[in-house]
Amino acid sequence: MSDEEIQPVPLAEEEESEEAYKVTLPSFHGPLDLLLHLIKQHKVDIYDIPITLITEQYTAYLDAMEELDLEVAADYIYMAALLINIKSRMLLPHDEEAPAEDPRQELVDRLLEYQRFKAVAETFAELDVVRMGVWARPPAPLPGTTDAEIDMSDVGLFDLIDAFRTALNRYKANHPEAMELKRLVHKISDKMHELFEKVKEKSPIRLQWFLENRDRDELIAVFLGTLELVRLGGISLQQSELFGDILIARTEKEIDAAQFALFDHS
Amino acid sequence: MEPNDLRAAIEAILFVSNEPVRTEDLAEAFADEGGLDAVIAQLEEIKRNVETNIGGFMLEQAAGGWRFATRAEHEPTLKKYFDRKGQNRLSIAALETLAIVAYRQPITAPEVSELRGVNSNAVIRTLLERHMIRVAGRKNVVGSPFLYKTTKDFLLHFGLNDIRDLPRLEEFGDLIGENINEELVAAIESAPEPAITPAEITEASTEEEAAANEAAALDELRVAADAVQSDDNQRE
Repeated sequence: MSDEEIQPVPLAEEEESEEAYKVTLPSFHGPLDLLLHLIKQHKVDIYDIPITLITEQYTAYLDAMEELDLEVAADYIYMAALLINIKSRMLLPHDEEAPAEDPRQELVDRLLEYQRFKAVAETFAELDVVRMGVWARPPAPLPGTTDAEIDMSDVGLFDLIDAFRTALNRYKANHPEAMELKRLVHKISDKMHELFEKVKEKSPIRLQWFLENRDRDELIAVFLGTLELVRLGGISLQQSELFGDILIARTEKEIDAAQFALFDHS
Repeated sequence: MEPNDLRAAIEAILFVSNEPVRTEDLAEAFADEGGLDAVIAQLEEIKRNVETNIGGFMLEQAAGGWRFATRAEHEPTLKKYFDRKGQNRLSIAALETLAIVAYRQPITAPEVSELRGVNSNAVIRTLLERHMIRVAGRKNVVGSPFLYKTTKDFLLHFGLNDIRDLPRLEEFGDLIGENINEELVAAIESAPEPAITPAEITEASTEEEAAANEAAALDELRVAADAVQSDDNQRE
């Protein structure tokens, strides 16, 4: 999330900072970039930044970003806090005799340094485009070269990691992870028998009562078994109100308990 | 050997070599034929010849040596003929980061982020994968972060012979403000560079130590590599 380009720009002439902001989207590459843009746009002296104006403008951008539902990166918020901190330090009374260091100094230094690197990046960008077109002959083995001569001098850590990752992926593809097959502890057919016997003795019974004191795997088996019995027509389920107790009742239909084993697929 | 023969011999070496040919190596090879001076004279001659012809390739000095490479205007033809898309251009974020590494190397990821004002870990990973930068040990500070340096590929890609060929950073100080406070500029420029003294860099003194460093680096970067991989998976 660090490097996406979050980029609102106020179109309004900014003589009055109270103005409503219209927002377009050129590109910024971080809080320093945004600050440089504001300084340029307002034609202010970088060595004497009107911190109140710039802070207002800066926070207005952040608000605009939020309005656009862009997630404002922590780096931007940190800079806003820094600006407010500088602003408040500027307001502190200071000794005329011994002039304190300008609270803006550190930020100015950072801006100047960043500005240089930004200029270098622009030069690099131009070179990048031109040099993309310059191709050299790919290395080829010289006549009489044996395989034993492997030049390792240019092999970087990332080459090793790449190689390792490829090998690892290949290994994983050839060796799928072992799967643990659990023995079928709770058979659906058993649960069907159990429930069917229960409703033969007493009907109706509460489903809740029948489910009590069973672990997860068993619950699944019971649940599936119940559904199968309903489907076979041996029992019926009733619920008188929403979220109320579910009652299981025996139906008139006679069903053959021998077929229960058919449902023990797993 | 006549000068013309020397030139032809050098040309043959340049043609075959898999990497930029160092002037010193040629000087050594032709020590009896006039050494460094004669070799340089002939290299210049080859360069001049190729340039006057305005052919398909040029002789360039990059990454500390000489090599033949195509001239940029043939890129469309080459791409079409070899059916290659070519690499993507580096993003502005990547170029900024690369600029910082180039001028401040060796440098750690947190230091880059501080200079840019944005978390730069993802961009650093991209640059590592594009072979523009590489790991160059660890810094002896809390957390022992990795130090990064530019690579030979970086020099080749940008057509630089040496990292020292980069223009002085101060030359990029084209300022925004109209009324520049000269005193301040002077103060900033005379301020000591936050360069790293060798004592701050962990140097492996034994082979075992070097191997241990390497293993630790791999361990830490695996996290980065995994992240890249999961990105890839998401894209699929």
